[in-house]
Amino acid sequence: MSKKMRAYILNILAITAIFLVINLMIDAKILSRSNRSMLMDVGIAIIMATSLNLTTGMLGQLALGHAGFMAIGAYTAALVTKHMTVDIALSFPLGLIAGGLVAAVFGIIIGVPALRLKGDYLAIITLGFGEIIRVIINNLPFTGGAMGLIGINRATTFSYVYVVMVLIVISLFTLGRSRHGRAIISIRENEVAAESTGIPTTRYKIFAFTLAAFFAGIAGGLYAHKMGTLSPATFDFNKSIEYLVMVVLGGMGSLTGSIVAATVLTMLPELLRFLADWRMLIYSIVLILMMLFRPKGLLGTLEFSLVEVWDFCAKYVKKAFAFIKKHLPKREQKVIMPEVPKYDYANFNLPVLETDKLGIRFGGLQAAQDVHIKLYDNEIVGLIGPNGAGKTTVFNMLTGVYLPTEGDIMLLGKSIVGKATHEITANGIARTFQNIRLFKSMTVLENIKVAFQTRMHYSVLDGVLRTSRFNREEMGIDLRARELLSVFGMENVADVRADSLPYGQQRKLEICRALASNPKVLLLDEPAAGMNPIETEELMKTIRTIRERFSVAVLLIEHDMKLVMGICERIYVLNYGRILAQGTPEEIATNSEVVEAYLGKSENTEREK
Amino acid sequence: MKAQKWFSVILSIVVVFSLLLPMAVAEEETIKIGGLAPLTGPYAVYGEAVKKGADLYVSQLNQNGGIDGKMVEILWEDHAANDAQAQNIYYQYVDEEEVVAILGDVLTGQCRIIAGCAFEDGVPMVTASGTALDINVGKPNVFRTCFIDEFQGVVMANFAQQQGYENVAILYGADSAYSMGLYNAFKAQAAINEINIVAEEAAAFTDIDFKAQLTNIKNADPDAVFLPWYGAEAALILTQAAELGLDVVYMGADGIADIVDKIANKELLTKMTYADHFAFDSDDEAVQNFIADFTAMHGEGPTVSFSATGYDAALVICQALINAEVEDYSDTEAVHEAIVAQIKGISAEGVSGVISFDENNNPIKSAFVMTFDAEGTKHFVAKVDPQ
Repeated sequence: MSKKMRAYILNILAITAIFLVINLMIDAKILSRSNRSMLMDVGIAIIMATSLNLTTGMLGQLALGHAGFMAIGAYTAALVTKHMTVDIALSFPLGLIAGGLVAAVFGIIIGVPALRLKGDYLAIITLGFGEIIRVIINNLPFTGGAMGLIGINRATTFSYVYVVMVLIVISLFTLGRSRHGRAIISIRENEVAAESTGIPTTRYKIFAFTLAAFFAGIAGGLYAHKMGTLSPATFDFNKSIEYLVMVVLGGMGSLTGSIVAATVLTMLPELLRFLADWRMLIYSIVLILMMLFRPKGLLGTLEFSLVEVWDFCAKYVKKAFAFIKKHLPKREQKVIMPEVPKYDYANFNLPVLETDKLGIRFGGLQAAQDVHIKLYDNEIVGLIGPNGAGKTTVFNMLTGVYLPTEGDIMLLGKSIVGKATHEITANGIARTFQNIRLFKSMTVLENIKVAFQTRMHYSVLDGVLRTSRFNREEMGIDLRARELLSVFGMENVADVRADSLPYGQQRKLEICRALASNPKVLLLDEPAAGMNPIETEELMKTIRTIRERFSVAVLLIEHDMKLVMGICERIYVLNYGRILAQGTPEEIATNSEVVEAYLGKSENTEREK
Repeated sequence: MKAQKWFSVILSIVVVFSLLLPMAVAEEETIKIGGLAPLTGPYAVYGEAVKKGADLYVSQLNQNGGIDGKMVEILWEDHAANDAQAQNIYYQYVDEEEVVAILGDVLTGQCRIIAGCAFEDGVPMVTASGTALDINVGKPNVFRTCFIDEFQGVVMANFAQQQGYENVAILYGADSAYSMGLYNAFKAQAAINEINIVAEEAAAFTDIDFKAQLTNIKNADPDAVFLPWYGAEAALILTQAAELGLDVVYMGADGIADIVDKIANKELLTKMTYADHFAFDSDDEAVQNFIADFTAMHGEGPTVSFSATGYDAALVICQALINAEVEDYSDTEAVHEAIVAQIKGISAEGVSGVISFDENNNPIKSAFVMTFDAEGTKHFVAKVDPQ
């Protein structure tokens, strides 16, 4: 029986056991109303913290207005149950869903403009949003204004909170480990690289933000029907910070960390009651100490896994599992391989990539002008030139990072000017970066898997529900990704974190990731930068392997002349944004203009002539 | 690295053990009242005021033998003005401590939540400071010993008539339930008293510049300006009005009580009169005794009038218990019912006057109109009756 299966069974058992034990304790009156009330607070806090972790931990965007979404959900749900004449058993779940949906709508409204910004700016916008929501609720005629909304049916029970909480946490877990989760995490790791690996970053950012808002809205609905009274002052800035503290304390990106932190921080003020006057002081000191000693949070980005604990302490139980396995019906899993893109180009004599009078102007600066580059199938072409000649600018135009101000780029006979980077990647151009941009905290294998994104099809729901479609596609890309790694001799480091690889291997991984999207054109930006001669030697081998194994045209920027002269069939020389010369390595090496561009004109050479 | 690991381990152990800690409850033959108040955080001033007043009454009662020889104890648990914590403490009081009544809560927000719970459970609740009208509407077991916001508006409109103000302007906060309630009540009573409202200007509680509104008010040339604000905003308004050369008298409600620490030029306060729940410098004997006893017990005199209403709240609950002549405290439901019935018909001598309740469970008592001297000390001006 696989570890995965064991994990499933164990988790289901644990979740049911906790539920049953607590309910039995409630029935037996061991847990009083105040205990139950606190457990409900914990459940609501867990939903808030884990959903905030989706934006702040997984997506890596600092959001300070999470309580605003909670407020929207709370008021919407309360108004629904107050005004619907049907039984509360029906109107309550409807209210919760309505609360979530309205919060999600606001998530989109605020997310679309706000997520164009990053870091501090997004934090400020979300902060402002949280305050605006409070002011609006204060002034709407049907929310009770500053007086608040009273007489809400107190329909929230522990079972309700628990079931909703478990559903939300599980879907966040499964989502996080699907292609969609990988896409979201890759944005946190390196947004530029994610985009150029084919991830539609804007769409995923809004998706994650909206989903977090949806869950916060549901939590708000539960809260409203627990308290029975709502006032806008509850959902102030402090409330958002409270949840942010839980996320940070639990560890950004660790869902189990958020769960632990939400539980501890909600219960701590109650448990410290015996300290009386010292209570809030001790609480604050505990917070400070935890941050000092565990700056990455209780669990960092790690997840606590029941199955690891289990495996560690009870190996002999494996026998029992083996027995179950023997009696389980066996099922053949069909694997869906990621589709190989069929590039639509009939005439092999035409260049795969061609630029025509390509140029770009940044204000008054003409960074590139009149650039003609042709790249034929299976060719290795060098793009060289002195520092500041505009080489990387050309790459950025080819990949849609910069929009050219003049000229055209034809990929397989079609213009790609004006397309987004991730669309261009899907159309067949992949690249690496001058300064390595890996998804550092992901494993080597996951780095590759992110790049398969463009050619996978299962939906968010497939990912959350773990349908067979999810399993088949995931198994397919797992095989393909390992295959790809083995071509470069990296299969043994598949499960190693990307940032723990030696420098040369990181370069190789970046190339490998670019190839995973099955490009027609591979752009390498100074692949040998910072490499020692041995590593450079290996890089040359790698590039040759690429040419042998993959039908791809390579365009590379490089300063290392040994490498350029060694493997390139043709070379373009760029100087002051213009093509200075082109030709075979021999022609370029002897071209006086090129030598002059690199070394400058010497008076001696002038005289000798 | 190792230190961190050890720290995590120790921390986890502490957390686990604290989860297992049973709630240590000492079983004694005392009558318990559940006191709910924020005792830490920004609103602790109000919570402490109520607590100290109520504790004073109970200690006096216990010195005189308690109720039928049983001692009375008010439990105080801090909730730092957090709704969820307040609700948890309420459940703890009612289910685990089996309190006879709830004294509190202090702020309007938590009052609403606790009133909702108390109404469902039928537990008698007396708040000393929840002035918002809706707290006890439709809840026959929820009482208060402070008057409601609207009442203060009426009181000040009556005071304006007594003083012979003919033209009055109002500057109110449109985003505050407190300010709106006072504004509407004042305006309605002014119409009855045939006072002209010459200007009505709105502002927000987050505003810091009121000069535009004050200029309009100045142009309307009123005799007095009604300011239904809290101290912080009122201090800004008085200062800016002085800068504009607006030379009128000002009226306010109990929110003004904490203005003294918030204004630099204390001389401006001499133009302010406001309605309060209590006058500490009243020459009434009960009041002077209260202040002396309070100072003896807590080492400092009362500063916020909620100490007096807190004292009265404890008094109302205990007096109802005495009147009910409860013998069997184990049947909490019967005790609760008896207390509610007794409070309804009560007529007790409190520090803020004779306390009895109207059909809406609000106290029938007089308001105190106060002003300040140039040092910022509060002085009693007049006692105004509701009619």
